[in-house]
Amino acid sequence: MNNEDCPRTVALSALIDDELAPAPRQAVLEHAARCPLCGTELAELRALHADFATLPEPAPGADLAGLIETRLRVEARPRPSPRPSPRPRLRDRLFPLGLRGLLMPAAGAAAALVLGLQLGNLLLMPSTDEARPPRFVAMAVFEPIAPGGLCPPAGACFQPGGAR
Amino acid sequence: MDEAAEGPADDTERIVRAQRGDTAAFAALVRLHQQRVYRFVLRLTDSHEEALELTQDSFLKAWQALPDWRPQARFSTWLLQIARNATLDTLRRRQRVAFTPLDDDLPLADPAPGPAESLAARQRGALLEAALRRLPFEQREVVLLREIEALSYAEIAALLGVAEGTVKSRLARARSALVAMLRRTTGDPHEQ
Repeated sequence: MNNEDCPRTVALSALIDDELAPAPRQAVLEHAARCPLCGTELAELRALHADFATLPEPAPGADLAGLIETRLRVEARPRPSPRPSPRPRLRDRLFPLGLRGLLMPAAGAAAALVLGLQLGNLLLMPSTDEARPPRFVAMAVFEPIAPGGLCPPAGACFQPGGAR
Repeated sequence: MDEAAEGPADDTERIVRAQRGDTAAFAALVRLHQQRVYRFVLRLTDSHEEALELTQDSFLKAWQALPDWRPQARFSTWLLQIARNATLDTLRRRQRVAFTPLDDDLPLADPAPGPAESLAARQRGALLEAALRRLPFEQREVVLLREIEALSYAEIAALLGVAEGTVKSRLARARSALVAMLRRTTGDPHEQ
């Protein structure tokens, strides 16, 4: 039997909790004494109420108070405020990479300048070599020794019987 | 209950100090209420690790929300509300608020009577815990708030943000479901 929505069950439950006004309470009690169904149900509700009183008392098994107090103290502790950073110096603002950042580009610029001056000097400097007149060697083919040649045949260099 | 030894007046004094940032006073409040929050969350999640984590989260949320706390609200009820909302959020995120049907396989009780009354009580307790796990979330939370945390209908209604009539009917439905489940597992009317 399902009594959970029965108004009688609600009244019996409230009776157990002592939440009924005196007159309704008396009426419910008198009814339960006459009615076997309500009498049984009231007994069951009372037994249930008694069983709740026997339930064990579970404990957390840990000192939560200590844990919570520690946590609250840590959270409440004023945190060290970060020191205000000093104004960046001009050098640091111009050369955020420091001395190395300054030297590297300077060395590169100096090398480029020196190389440029050298090349400019070479172009502007007057040449010391006189222009040589071209040697006409075309007719040399008619000489006894051809240009670039070693010797004509042996008879041509040493004429028999004396010098040439 | 661990918080029973200390009254609400002590709570108020500690709360006021904690509101001023006194972490030691808040730790004392945690010590007083941690078991209550933990056991409530544990029975909603069925997981020790999850309950431990959610309990811590709930207290940290409470610390942050502490300036908004007003003496009109009972501190323990206010804590349970934070824990309940945190748990519901987590379960929703993990899509674990899907509710299981009630006609399921609860562990069967030993039909033979136990040699001692304590054994029988333990058996009944185990059956009840298993039946609780089968309840829909909205029924489970209401029955826990009433039966374990002993909140009034008005306090439960305020905590859940529903009408007192809703608490009343939801509680009746939860109890009826529990009785039905226990009756099915034992085979007898659930009576002591």
